Amino acid sequence: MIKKRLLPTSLARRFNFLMVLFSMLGVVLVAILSYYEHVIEARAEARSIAVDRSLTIVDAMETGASRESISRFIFSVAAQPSVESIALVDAGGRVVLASRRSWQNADVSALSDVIDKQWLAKQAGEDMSVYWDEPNVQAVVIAPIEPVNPASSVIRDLQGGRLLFALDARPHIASARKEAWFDAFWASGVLVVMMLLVSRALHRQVAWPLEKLYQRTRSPDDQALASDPAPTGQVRELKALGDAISELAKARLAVGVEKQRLEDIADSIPGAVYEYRHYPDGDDEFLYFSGGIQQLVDLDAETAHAWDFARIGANVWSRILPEDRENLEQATQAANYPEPGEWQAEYRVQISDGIRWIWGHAMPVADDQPGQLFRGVMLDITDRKELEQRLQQAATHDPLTGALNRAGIEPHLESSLAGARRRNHPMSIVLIDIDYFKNVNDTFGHGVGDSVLIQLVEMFKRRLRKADSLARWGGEEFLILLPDTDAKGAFQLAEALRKAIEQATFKHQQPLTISLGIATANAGDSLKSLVRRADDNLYAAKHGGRNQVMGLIEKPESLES
Amino acid sequence: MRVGIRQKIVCVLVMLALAGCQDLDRPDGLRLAVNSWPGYGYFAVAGERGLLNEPGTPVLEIVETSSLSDSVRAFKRGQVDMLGGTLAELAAINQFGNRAASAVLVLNRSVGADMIVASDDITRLDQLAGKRLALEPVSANVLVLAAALAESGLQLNQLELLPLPQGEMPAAMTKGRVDAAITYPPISIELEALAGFSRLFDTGQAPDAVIDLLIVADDVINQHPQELASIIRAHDEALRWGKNNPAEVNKLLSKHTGLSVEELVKLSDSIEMLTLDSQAAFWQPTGPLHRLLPVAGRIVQQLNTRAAEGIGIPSQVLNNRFIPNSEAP
Repeated sequence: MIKKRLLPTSLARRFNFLMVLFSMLGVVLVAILSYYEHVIEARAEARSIAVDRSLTIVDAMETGASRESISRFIFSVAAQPSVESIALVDAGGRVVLASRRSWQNADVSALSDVIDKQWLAKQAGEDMSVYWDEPNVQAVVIAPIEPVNPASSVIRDLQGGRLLFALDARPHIASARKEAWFDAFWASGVLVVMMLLVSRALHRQVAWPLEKLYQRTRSPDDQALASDPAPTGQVRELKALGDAISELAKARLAVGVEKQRLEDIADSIPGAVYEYRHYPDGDDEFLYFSGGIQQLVDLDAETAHAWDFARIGANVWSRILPEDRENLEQATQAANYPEPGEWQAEYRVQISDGIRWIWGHAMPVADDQPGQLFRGVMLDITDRKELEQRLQQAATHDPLTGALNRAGIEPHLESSLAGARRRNHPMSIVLIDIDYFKNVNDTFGHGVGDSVLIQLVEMFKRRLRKADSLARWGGEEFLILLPDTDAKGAFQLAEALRKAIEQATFKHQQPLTISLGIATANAGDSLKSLVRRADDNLYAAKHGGRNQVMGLIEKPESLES
Repeated sequence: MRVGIRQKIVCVLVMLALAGCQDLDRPDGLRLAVNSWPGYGYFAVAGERGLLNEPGTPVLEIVETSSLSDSVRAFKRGQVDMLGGTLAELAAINQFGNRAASAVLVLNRSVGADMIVASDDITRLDQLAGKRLALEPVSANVLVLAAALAESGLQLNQLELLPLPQGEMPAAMTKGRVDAAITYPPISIELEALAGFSRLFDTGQAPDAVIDLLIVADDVINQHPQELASIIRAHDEALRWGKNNPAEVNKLLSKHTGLSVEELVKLSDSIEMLTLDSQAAFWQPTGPLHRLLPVAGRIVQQLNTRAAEGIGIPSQVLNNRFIPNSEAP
């Protein structure tokens, strides 16, 4: 964890970091090893010297002729710089001869300022023993005095005593430390130089070319990457890597060109192409929209250029008019179940300056991903829709008055009649004819006649309920459909209309009346029979003197029976 | 800025070279060889009194030897940096050694401490003619001999000289191997105590014949003059303290010389310790040092090489740079 955080991510930097780290570790290791090697050697050397000197003194004790000659020999040996003390101690712990006069004839404890008490208290074993005194940096030898045939009586008196010899090892240790440092510095120097050379070689041959390759691969410019040779040096593997990257860049470049071509094609069609995936759990997502979607559904530039297709899809869905969404969902359901199939739908989207009609069409595409993939197109069909509406208007409406024409109202009549039968509700129609309208045309001309017709329709419409329908049935004949209206209600409405017209003033400033025939649907009535009955009643009204309503004599309850 | 690999390598090498160039000559302390002569004992007194522990004073390690010749040998072997000795040792070191040394301080003058002890049948110096005389070849004995020769008119070739270490003289005398011996305390005390032997001549008759000196290697004088000066100061302080505290100083001297307090008291009449302010007269160009040095040199050389005529010793070996109020030679 720590290692990961510490290490730089750049190869070259990581390389340098590790080189420095390993160099430092190497230097420390070399220093420690060198130190211990030299110090241990120095200790061994000091012990060896101490033993050697002690043996010499033991030999001298055997051969020394007099106390004075042995004493002189001891002084001579003690004059050597590292010899700290020599003492010949008898069995009773009294120093007989020593390298300092102040110790002579004193108790062995007098040596305590030079030799640690633990060694002074130690009795000699059978053989010479050498000890290392770490605090005082001393090699201490304790040797038994067991002369075989000494020349001097002084030595005979020492029988059973011991030789105490202390060698000051500080110069040895100091010298060893210096040597250790010296060796460590040079070894470290060589190590560091070798590390630097290796580091430089690896940096030049590997890290730097890799860094260059890395920088090139980070560049978005496939053209340059594919055309320029990579600076990979002479290393075989790196050259192969550089070539592979160039090849890859070429392939990527070709794919990019092809992709761009397809996108251009997709963007050039009027409308948008898209990819959509529907999941079994009802979820879905848009995977792609061509650029035309922006103009098609009037997306803001930010959304369109974000290339976030889910966001675009959500935006498109939000713009679809709520009343069309159900249709879309039904179409989607139908296209996915039971088997994936063609999907198509027409729906409206809200754009900034109105409504746009869109025709969507998609076909299922098999792939190995979960859910069902569809690829489709969305086309703007607003113009077609408007044309259709105009044609519809023309086919079902009277162009002069705007009221339904006969073809226009007949479906209403059929459905209303069927509904009345099904629900057993009353339903009536009123057939209206303008009295003496031929005279108006003949006297005031067709222009005035048309105006009168338009005014008349306006007046009818004002008095009709929302559910009622008005159609121009013939030249000056009108039909009013009154759903849920019995004969009595129809009569009242008809009478109201008659009176209103009778009292109204028209463009030609002449009174005008209408005759009205009512028919209320009976069980078993067809449209034809119903209209004929209304026509019969109209005829009766005409015949009965005009400006009247006829048809109440019918028995509307027959419908109920 | 990018530092080139060459600069890096050069930097590393320079640093390593600098690290390797430590001062290897710096001594941890100075070593002084002294035999048991009480005149050399005040360095040990200075050590006991803590006078050598002052800041700037190097550690002084006192190496005890059996005799002056052992001190000279230790010096010649490089085991010590300085020694207590006489003009004879100074001459011997500079004539036959490979290590130059100079005298920097007069420690004491022997007044009667150095002597010739002879068998009781020899009562005058001229009776030594044809006799066997034991002496240390390189020591104050040479100077005593020179003085004695001058006193009696004897020639060097009239005597049978037997070079012998001081410590072996009592045995040689009692066994009759020699008739007389040139000696100094403590051996002289031992010899005088022997039955049948008595003092024939002492330096009381030639007061400037035996002068003890602090002899220091020239490289130490040149490289560590301050350390040396501090040791000389400490020694001087020890002397002054000793003069005021004779009982205590004798105890300390006894410990380091192996002589008893009584012996030391007896000796004190014949050893005149010299403080720094009484040095100047000795270092005069006409003073005893400059006068005796050539004589001593000749005798030492004659003794060692049997040459008829010795060569002179340069007067530079008398180095008075540490002596206050002393003229430049």
